[in-house]
Amino acid sequence: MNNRLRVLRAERAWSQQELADRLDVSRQSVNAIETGKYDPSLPLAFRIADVFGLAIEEIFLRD
Amino acid sequence: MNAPRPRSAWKRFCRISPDWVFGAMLVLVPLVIARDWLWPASDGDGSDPRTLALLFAITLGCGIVAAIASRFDRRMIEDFHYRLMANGAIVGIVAMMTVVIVFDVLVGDVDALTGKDIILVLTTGWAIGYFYHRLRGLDA
Repeated sequence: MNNRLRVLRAERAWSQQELADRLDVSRQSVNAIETGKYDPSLPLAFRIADVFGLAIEEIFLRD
Repeated sequence: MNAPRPRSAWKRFCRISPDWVFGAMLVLVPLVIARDWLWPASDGDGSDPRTLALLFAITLGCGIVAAIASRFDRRMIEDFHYRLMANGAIVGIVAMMTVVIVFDVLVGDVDALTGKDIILVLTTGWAIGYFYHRLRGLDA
């Protein structure tokens, strides 16, 4: 699964640590999602969507 | 509504459900361990029934405690690290079983492996699995 997390984060000029703090996860988790090493759980995907004010399908894309 | 996705060839031909595999493990492995007690050898050289009973009781108790503790872990640790640990544990268990078989084939004396050796192999395999998935990703 692909995602637009890095682009969305860059648009807001947030560091990985800032985003991680907003999501209440570690920076390693954010980095793993951005690099495609980890597909987040559904609850975390909802939290990400809430943080960016977007729908999940606007952030996570099918391969 | 989307049409159902076609099942992969592996899923189509592999009819063995994990429930059957783990159910068999739950029943057969204790039976194999307790075989000396259930079907005593003529020379009487078998495992002590009290030791086997203690082993089963400890396994049952520790298994339930570990299951409850893992639920606590899942709540306290973030999902990414929990999944790394879980994937690493699978690697550790498979590595341990493989090492025992390879050791038996190469050395021909699996009894030479002590409990500490097994724990060492399991822990090392767990750590290898953790870092493999940490570096390569959870889908690797």
